[in-house]
Amino acid sequence: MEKTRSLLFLNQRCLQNPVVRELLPDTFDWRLLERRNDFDHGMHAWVVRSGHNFMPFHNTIGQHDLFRMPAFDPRFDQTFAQITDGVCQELNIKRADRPWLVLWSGGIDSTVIVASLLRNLSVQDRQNITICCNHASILEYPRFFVDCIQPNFRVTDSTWMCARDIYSGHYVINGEPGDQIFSHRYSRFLGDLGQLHWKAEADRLIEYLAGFSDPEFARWLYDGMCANLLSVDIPVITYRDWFWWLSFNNAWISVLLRHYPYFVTDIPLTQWLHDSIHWFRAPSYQQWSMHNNHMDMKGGHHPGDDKIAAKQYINSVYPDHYYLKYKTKVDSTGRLSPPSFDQDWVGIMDDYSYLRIDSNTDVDQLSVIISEHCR
Amino acid sequence: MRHRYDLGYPLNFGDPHFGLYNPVLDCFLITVRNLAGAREIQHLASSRYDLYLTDLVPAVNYAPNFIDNKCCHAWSMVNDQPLPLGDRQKLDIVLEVKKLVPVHHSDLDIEQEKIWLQVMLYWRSFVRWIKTDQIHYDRYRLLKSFIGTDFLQVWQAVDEFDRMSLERLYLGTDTREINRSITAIVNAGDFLRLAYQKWKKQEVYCS
Repeated sequence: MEKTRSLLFLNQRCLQNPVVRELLPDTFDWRLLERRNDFDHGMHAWVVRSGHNFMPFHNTIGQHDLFRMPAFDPRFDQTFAQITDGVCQELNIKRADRPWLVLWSGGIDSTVIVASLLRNLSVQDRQNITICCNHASILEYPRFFVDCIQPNFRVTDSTWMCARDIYSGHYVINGEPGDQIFSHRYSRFLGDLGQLHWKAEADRLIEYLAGFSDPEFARWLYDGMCANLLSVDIPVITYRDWFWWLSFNNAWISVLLRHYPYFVTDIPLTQWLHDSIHWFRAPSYQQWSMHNNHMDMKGGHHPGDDKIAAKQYINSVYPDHYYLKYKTKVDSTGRLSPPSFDQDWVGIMDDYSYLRIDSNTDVDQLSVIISEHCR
Repeated sequence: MRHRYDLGYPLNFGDPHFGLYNPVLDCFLITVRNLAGAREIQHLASSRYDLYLTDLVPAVNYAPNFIDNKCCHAWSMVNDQPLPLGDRQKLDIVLEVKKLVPVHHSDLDIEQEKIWLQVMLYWRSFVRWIKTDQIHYDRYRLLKSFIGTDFLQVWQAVDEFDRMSLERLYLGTDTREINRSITAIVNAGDFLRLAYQKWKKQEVYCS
């Protein structure tokens, strides 16, 4: 490991590792990050993409093309349906050199992908597409599987597949980061609070946050987000918008990277980044997301309003009154079976090499790398 | 054909009473007397929506005849914790209702959904009855894996009916069509037809 190498992305869950904790600067408050992990279930390492960086890490990865947030375009006016059709048509042209494997979890986001394939591609175009799912996916939306997937696509069971099987010779399409386009997990509990102004009603928002954490953490998060929001031009007004921004701005990068550690023993990161198509990463989706707060396209007071724009798109392909009205956002369990989650994964270096702790790790160099990444 | 509508309230004081709650409609769509039956309804209904399994008895204002399948749609609930929306694993947990609260609805779908769930309860209870009341079924299950099936055709018909009725209940959208097709399957075979007639004569409730 060369000393000039720097850390691009830190896996904040590794801070639970006592070896890593020993390497942190004395001034670093790792307890804060532990509470952050509890608040956001630890799967997301917050990295501020745009605006004032209130996290205790340098933000270097946020400027890479793969992760950068597009500048807010006030003239943007495409609909969700137009964007989704456009993404599919563009992929059909630019990624026609290999078969596609679509990871269908049964959830709303990945169902949008399959609906788009049906809506935009010919029978001939679809011959090179395989839907990868398991029993949990089917249970989540069985009629769609029976009526739309089975008659129109090759299907493969993902239950026991490993990354080498999945990424071998395919482009792998997934529904990330669909959740970040729409909202944050805690906004579904907001109810009427969702319409309050985040700045004018700060005390209630902090109190709400403290309900999922503690008062000190809630205050820290609110102050950091306040500084961040005041430094950007994105229209964020209500509590619901606030939570969306927390997810869209801070969790985005981590969500794009989070599945990689499950496959770390199988394929290089660079290959994985090239072969993975995160459907909702497209700049047009991000513009749509920035433009469609408080327009009831993302969700409302009602659990059935979750991701309404996505459900309407699916309904245009497969009319289903029940899905449109009753389908709620659920953490889909139709995922690939991970061989193991790498607990010793530290992060990603600036050359996209994978950094982890093992018996060969130069602890002194790791200490320098981590210290330089912390602020 | 006249179908029995199960009111769903406990027959004896102290008996269990479960409600299946729809978070989008914010009301109970059906109440059931036993947990196994409630779970089965919950699983089958998942093709349309998630129903949360609740224990009605702990509610401070609960009484056995307070809520039944005629009026369950007029009731919602209050709990200590917010409903675990979005967490699929929490669907398996039986939530204790802290208090029943009245709700008012103008949603026309509710009555149709209640009827569908009643139809589901009806046919699944028939299958359960065949498999538990008819003692030979247990022996059939034990033996079918290694004994030639020539002598077990009757019970094969039960398994086949189970499979076919499940498929219709799970994937069907038109309640009348579901009922019609399941009834046709029943009437197509002597054993099922006779068993069904025997079951209907019994004074038992579906759940």
